[in-house]
Amino acid sequence: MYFGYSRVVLPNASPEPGPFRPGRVIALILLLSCVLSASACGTVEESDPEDWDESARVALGDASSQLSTVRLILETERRDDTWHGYAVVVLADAEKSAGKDADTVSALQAPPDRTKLSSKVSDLLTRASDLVQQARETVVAHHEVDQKLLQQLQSLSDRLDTEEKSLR
Amino acid sequence: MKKYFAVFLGVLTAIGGFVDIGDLVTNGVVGSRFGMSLAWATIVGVVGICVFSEMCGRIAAVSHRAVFDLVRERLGPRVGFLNLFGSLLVTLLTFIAEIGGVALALQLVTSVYYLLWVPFVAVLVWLILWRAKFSTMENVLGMVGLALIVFAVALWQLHPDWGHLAHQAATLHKPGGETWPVYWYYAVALFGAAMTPYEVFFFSSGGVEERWTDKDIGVMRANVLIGFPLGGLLSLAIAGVATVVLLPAGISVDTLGQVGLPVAVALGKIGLAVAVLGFVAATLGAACETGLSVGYSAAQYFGFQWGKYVKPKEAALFHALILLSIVVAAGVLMTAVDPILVTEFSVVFSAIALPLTYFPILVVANDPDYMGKHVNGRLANVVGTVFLGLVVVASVAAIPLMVITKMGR
Repeated sequence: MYFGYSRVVLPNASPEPGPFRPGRVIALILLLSCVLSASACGTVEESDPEDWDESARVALGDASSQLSTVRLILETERRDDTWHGYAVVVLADAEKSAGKDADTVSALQAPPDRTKLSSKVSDLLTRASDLVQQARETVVAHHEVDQKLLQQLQSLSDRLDTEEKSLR
Repeated sequence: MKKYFAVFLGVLTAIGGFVDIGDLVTNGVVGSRFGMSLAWATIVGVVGICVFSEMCGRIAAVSHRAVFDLVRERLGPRVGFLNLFGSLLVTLLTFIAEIGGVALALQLVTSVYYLLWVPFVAVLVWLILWRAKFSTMENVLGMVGLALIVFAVALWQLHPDWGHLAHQAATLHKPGGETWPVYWYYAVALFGAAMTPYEVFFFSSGGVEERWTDKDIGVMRANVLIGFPLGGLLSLAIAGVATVVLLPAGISVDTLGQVGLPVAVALGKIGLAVAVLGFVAATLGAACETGLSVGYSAAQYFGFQWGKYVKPKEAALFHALILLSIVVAAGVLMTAVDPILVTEFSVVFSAIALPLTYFPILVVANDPDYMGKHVNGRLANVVGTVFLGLVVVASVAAIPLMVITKMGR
């Protein structure tokens, strides 16, 4: 009997089927879907410099994370701390994600003052994607993971981090 | 002795059944990006789910009726329908995420692409829900879900600086590269993951399935007040290992495979195998719970026979609804939508739907006509009202935060 919850009575509070109209709810959902769909149907426009920076920053950060994931899984694979199939799945996921990052930035039309930076970022992201692919191929082929590949992953990850920080 | 065994079994299954795909992914993401600085959100969420689960369990034990049934009767069809609409949508979204989670976990074991597993998992879930006894399903999957304790063992084996972790957890702090809106977005996501609406519907409907009476209130309270917080510790352990291994390595979690990596680092192949077993059991258990919850909520609202304690023939519509939701879930996943993305949506939309779920529970638990002498006391109402305030804040903040942060990017 505290806080008045026991006295809560709402209009039309009856166990009998009330006058609510599911049709209204469905109409509202359809309207919302149309608005959301329409908002996604814009034509391609040159992106705003700030938006471009944001997209590039996110892609660089994500690609760096993928490179670090690959490095960690290769190290566990070398120590025999994981099974082959698990490593392949993690590497394939990283490859897919790194490829998406490279595509995201290359598909964006860079603002005029970001053209040079855009090609630099695209180049870094493509290199990241290629390196992840190389790592996946090495593991799938059951080749031994060499130290050089691990160093390449570390160094490219550091470069991506530096570039990402410069865009903040 | 029988009573102690029931408490012990209930606590174990509550721990094993607490973590689902939302907890696995959200805690992994948060640990890898924010360290332990958002541990408070998990703790608050766990206290909240304990408060409302205890109310739901009490309602089921005293009235022998489940929550939706009473909500419609007590608050009328309009509020009941709003409650049903919000909760059903979120539960279905969670169901899709759980089935996707099982498929992803099986992919980690077999290297077979997860989409090939989806139809198989859908059939498996249907078979369990159709054939298995309620208690067998709950106990077996809950017990196997205890495999996730391996995350706590891994954290201990990683020899972290406990003082540093505690300091992170005790201070309002975010890493330099993150922004405050993203920090609050993940706080809401963790809160939503811990307080997912299906948990209370499953819990109260389970109470009716198992024919609880007011004599079972003590056992029920032990399950909730011991089992759920210990399950919450597993969530914190998942965030903890991600904090120790992934955060310093600059890895931000976006796949289930990454969530298991710290266990491989700490415990090697065997530890990783146990973790993946835990992934399968936790997501399969939650898939069964969410699948049943879809059927429970709709059947209780519309008033047709429901439950696994009656023969499927007697609850044909209930089973047809479950089958339909399985087909919808598998169909959505077969469009190749990313299950992790579905999971992220499900935890945020859970947060949005929370007031629709929890306000009616508070009203019913205060009604002496239903509850008799077990009506909410002052403590339950004070804590319940505080949490109702919190769920309203989380619900209102969820969509703006999701838009501003572009889903935590």
